[in-house]
Amino acid sequence: MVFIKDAKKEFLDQIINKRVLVFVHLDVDALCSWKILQHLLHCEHILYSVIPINSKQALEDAYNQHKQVANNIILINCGATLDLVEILQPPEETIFYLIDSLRPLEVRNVYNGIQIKIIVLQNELGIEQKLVPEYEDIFDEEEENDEENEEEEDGDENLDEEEPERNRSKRKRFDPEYLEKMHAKREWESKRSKILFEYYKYTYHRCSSSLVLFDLAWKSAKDNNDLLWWSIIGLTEQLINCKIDRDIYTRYVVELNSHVLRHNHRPAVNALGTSNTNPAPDDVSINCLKISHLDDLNMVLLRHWSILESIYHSIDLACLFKMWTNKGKKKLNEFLADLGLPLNECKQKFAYMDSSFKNDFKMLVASENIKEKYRYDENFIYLSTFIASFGYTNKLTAFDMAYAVEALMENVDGEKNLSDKFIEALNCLNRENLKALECGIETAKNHLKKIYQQIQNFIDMNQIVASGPFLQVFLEEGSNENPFFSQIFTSKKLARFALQSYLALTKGKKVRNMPLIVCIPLNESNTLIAGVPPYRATNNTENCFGLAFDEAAEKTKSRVNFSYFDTSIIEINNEDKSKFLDALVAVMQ
Amino acid sequence: MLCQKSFELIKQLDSNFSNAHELSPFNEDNVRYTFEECKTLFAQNQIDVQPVLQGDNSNLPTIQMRHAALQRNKRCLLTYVYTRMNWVASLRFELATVVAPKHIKANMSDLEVVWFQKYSKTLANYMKSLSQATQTNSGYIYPIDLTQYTKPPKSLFIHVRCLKDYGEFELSDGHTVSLVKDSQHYLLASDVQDLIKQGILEHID
Repeated sequence: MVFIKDAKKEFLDQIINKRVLVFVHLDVDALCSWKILQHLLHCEHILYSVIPINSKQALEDAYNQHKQVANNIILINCGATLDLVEILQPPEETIFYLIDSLRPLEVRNVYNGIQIKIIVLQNELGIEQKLVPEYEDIFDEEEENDEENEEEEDGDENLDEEEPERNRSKRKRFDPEYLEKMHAKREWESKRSKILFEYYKYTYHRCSSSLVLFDLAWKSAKDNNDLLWWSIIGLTEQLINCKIDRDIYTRYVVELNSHVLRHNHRPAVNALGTSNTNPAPDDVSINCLKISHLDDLNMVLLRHWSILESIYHSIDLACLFKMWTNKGKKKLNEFLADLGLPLNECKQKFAYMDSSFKNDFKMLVASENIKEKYRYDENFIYLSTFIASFGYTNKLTAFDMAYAVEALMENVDGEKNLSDKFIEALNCLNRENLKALECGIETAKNHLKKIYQQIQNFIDMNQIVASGPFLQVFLEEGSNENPFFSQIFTSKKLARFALQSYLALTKGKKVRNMPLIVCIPLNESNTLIAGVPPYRATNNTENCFGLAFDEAAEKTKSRVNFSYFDTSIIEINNEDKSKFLDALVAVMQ
Repeated sequence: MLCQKSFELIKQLDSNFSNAHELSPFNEDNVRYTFEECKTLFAQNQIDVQPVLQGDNSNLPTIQMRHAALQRNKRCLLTYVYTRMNWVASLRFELATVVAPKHIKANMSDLEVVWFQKYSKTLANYMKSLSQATQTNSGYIYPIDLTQYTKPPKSLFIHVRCLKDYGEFELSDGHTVSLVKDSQHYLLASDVQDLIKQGILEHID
């Protein structure tokens, strides 16, 4: 096992005074992790080069361009599921450090031992180890040796005359010991493929990379409020994109809360982590970052939007009211009336609302009769998160930040390339840069509106249809919004929202346990297919599409491109699409 | 009208700074005229001041007015010369040359040319003395060029982003980095200062 046991000793101390090359995947968690890692590298004066990537091909290209720069390579949220040694062919002295939340880990990475080191949360080391199959079950050293020997023997035999060889093979064939060995080997092989199938069956996520790195920063006594804030944002993103479910999220929130209390306990240290010489409680500057835990309303970007719009675009609430129907819109109005909120107050920005309404709002939604009437519970309407304040700006929740940063990355703008988006998103994470943040929040609103509109279309046109064991929905070809929906996280979000809204409007029991795929035409020749697992209240994070896509592609020999690290998103040639989907139905049954 | 020419000098300065890399010609005529004006005013005041000394105050307002005009002329002249001098001094830092470019030199007065030479010499001497102060035990002198580093760096290392494909770049520690478009690096500030000036790299926070 190459899980690093002591991240400080075996990772951070190892790279001091060396150049490192860092590959960062383009997602919020990876960016937050990078910010934390960057702080650690700066502390140690470690020189680095950093390259943002978004696909497997990009990783390969970037590696080949930069491999001579450094022998120590850190991969954040990318590559742990790939056989790195096989794909990149690194020289022997190169060492990869992997920090990835995506599972299952490629077993060859786990058991590589020399060149690949995987960093996981230390508390979860035991669990992670249990998840990976035992070495003996999947690798057979004897067998590998045997094969080598046989090859050598074969080589020798060819030189000899043919007669002795035949004798030998005959002897082999009838030797009971040999036969038994062969039998055992076959049994072992079938067991092995079974184990591997079970292991690779689902793709899912575990603890966010930013938490892993924050843990490292904490253990090297270099943590501060900023790092903590980034790790909170990283965790939040995992919940937004359904990488982890609510239970696990809550568990981590409790864990992080202890750090939050530690850092925001007065007399406080200031945000940069330098010790505050004057510990008088009121001396904490307004510009310092202050974080506190909060049970917030489960409404998107509420602090930057109006109540009405926020409810419209929160998928959970939209499904509760079945917002895509006329009845649903009436029901929402009724709901607001029950809360005693005038409609014109609900339509203006939450921040400018009459403060008496604002204060009551949060209490009222959780009052008994409202909860009973609209059939939801406290867990549904409240979401525990963290809220940060600094300077004289609005308070920000971790969700606002995560939405804003993601929107900047998923923004489709012809002029901006990967690197621009990377820098823009990183700027947004810098809290000095309020303009970027505002821009991010506006973009996020736009994105949510587009998704809402698209789902309204799906529902109006009855475009979500069951096809065998899963639901599917196609986007129309030639729509202007297709490039936007084909972004990695947006496509999945669209799929998830479509599934959830479909379930809210459909009564049948059978559809409850169905996953959904969404097909988005990319250009004349290619289509992007993204799959999401069935919607359940808990444990809805294991995605079985990776293996299913693989199998269906193999059966039909379709031209499929698994370009992303997340295998549940693929690109497929249009000509192969229909036969691929047919095969997918067969595979899934 | 009194002081008109000296005011013109100041106006000329104003237009001079609107385009940063041009120095307007030294306005010898206006300067000389202003000197003449000053001399005349002074002479007239000398004459008119005699009755005042004897107790006749009827001339006093005229004298005060002339005196104010004199003061103003002096201020304008000093401003004109001083501002031009500063501009010439900044030339040394911006262009990092000891010899002023021809088109600028043509617009400088003789005294300004001499001053520029002296300034360059003084600066060079100062930098030399600084460099000698860095001499280590091994005898190596680290040359310090003040015109290169006008601002103290916040840290030894900076985060840069590559704007153009540059290829391999060797650092002072012997390592190489490949500067491919859009890659980002954290490097020793002194290594990449030149590349930033050339516009190949961009400093990002």
